[in-house]
Amino acid sequence: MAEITYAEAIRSALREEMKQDERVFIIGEDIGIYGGAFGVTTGMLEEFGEKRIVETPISEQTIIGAAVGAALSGMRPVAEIMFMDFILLALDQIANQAGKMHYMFGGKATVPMVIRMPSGSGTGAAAQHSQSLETLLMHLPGLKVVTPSTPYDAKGLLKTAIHDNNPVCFVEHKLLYKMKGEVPEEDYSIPFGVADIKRAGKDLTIVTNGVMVHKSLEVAKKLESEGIDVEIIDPRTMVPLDSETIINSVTKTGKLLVVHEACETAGWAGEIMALISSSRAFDYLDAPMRRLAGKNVPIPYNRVLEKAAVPQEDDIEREIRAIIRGDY
Amino acid sequence: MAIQVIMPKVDMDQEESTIISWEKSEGDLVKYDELLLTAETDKVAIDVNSPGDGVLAGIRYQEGDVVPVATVIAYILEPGEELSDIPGATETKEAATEAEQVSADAPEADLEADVKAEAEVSTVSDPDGKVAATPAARRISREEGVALDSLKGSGPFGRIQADDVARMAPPSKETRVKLQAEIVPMVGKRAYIAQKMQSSFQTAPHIFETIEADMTRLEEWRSRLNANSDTKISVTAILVKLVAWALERNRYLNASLLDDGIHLWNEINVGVATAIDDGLIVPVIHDANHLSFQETASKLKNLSQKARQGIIELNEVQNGTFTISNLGMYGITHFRAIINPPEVAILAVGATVRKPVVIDQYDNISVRPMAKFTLSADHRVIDGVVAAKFLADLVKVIENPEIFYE
Repeated sequence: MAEITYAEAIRSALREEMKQDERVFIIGEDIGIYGGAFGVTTGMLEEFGEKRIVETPISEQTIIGAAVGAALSGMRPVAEIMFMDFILLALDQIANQAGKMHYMFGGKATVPMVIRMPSGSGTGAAAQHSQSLETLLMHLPGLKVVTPSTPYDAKGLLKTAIHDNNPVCFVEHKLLYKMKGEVPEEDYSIPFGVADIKRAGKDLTIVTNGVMVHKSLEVAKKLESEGIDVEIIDPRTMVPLDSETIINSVTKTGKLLVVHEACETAGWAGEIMALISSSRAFDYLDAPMRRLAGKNVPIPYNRVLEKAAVPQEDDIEREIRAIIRGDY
Repeated sequence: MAIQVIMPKVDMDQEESTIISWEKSEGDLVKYDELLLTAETDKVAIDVNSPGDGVLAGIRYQEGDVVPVATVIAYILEPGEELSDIPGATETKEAATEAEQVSADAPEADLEADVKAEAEVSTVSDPDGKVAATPAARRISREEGVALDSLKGSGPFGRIQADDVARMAPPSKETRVKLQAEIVPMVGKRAYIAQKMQSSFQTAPHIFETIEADMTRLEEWRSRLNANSDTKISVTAILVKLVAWALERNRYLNASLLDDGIHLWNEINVGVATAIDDGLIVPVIHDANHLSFQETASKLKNLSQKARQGIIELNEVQNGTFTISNLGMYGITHFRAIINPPEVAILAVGATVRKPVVIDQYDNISVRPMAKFTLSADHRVIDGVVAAKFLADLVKVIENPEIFYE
């Protein structure tokens, strides 16, 4: 076991896969000499050369379009979109091309590609560089959506993503890049559709992803001493979603809180709540299901407001206490 | 739309304030920012100004009242609006305060810094007669058969929570800690005895009478009888004979209550309750009053043996008209037996105990072997005095054996 950062874990997965399979290559902005906007591809240009570390101009639609073409022709591209916010420029390529070709060509075409994208707020990058848009991607059939929250999850899931013959959106919360965690030295991968119970508990279920997993864990540790035992489920893959684990958890605890940084309106918390309502867990709910999400605002530049725009530890703690206390 | 007039919070840690004076009254037309009332905390005086134009209505707190912060204290109505239009505006002060306090206490975000609470008034059940209960509460209600409308909810707005139902449910088999047991099936003799005893006790109104007898002369008598007998004559055997003698003179004790009336049996068939391996059996000495002591004793011995060996025959346990049960050998001084249907009485014999008794009219005391006899009788057939007479006769012959030969 080695303790490495989230960024290092991703790089490690990329390197291993690229060494094993020459069809795997990376395409994106500033990924070469600069080593990637967040340093993920540092040193890889030297190791793999220009043909496999393909730098592009600012051209999101082209990056994705080229990746789709490459994938269709038998390559296994890993495209990097510098900020998740910019996928919106490439949405037609992602949704209408990458996501639908396999289906529309009756299985004759496959698009085995990965789109990596840093998401989330907290670095003062303001409204156009801080969004969490996984909900948009979840909604599009044909795409898989992965949101790892730890170095261990990131490496294992990226390997699976690269091996997957479908387009996979790989969402990396930018505040996690420097986070350290234990990662096995030997080869491993994590299957899609398997949630991780980051903390087992019996009083309340939190379903959350990305950096919110860690905020929730902090709060859970604090509340432990007061006898409030919180279970934290990290779906890891939003599509395909491990609904069984979530349903089992809520059946056990009878209380649900969904925490996500993505904006509240039509955010994926609604998806989880609908899932629970229409499952057997419904008959075990002993309190209204609640969600804590990003406010429906552009992420502010001002650091105080930036923090206030998304759930923080205090908010999570307050909400847990309110649910347990029976305020709702 | 009506506007709420809310008691402001001016201090970080302020919980409440006291109304000093209302400057406007119920029904007054007020303008935006006009002074409505003054209040004070322990530190400062507060002016509460109108949040809008309209008619001041629904004043809930008067001068001198202590009002929690963020509470609705009145409303500003639009022209044409009625107080009754506003849900909860006509609620009693107490209910409203309580409901508002719930939201007022709810944690406020840093940015909200807030004074405006939503006044949500609580209703326990809505006008349609539906009951507010969580899905889990409803499930337990279904599973345990506890009606929701019989419960008081402990949740917000009187909502019934799972615990509220679970508490009223009978203890579930799963939650009770199971005791271990060796299971003996209720079959065969045990089942038969159970059915007979239950039926007897529940059908015949039992009365119980106890009498004590001095067994001195009976013991002497027994010795004399045994001297002239091959078969050992037990106390029980003698008692069979003496009971038969008493039954001859007290026919109602030797009867059965059947559909067509009380049958006073012609035969006297005395059964002797005998303990065997898996229960109880009552071998019968038929025609006991016509047998000799020896015959009685040998019959008794034979039947007991057969009973214990499990080879007793059907006719040997049938047609009893009276039963004797003796637990004296176990030291039991007296006990009450259950009548053996279709008989109407049973005699429970206790241990013979040597004790000091008064033996004459001069209060002289001597140690004598005394035994208690308890009769159980079916009061449908046998009244107290009838039973008492039988016992008196029995004791008379026990204490005065010469009567037997008259």
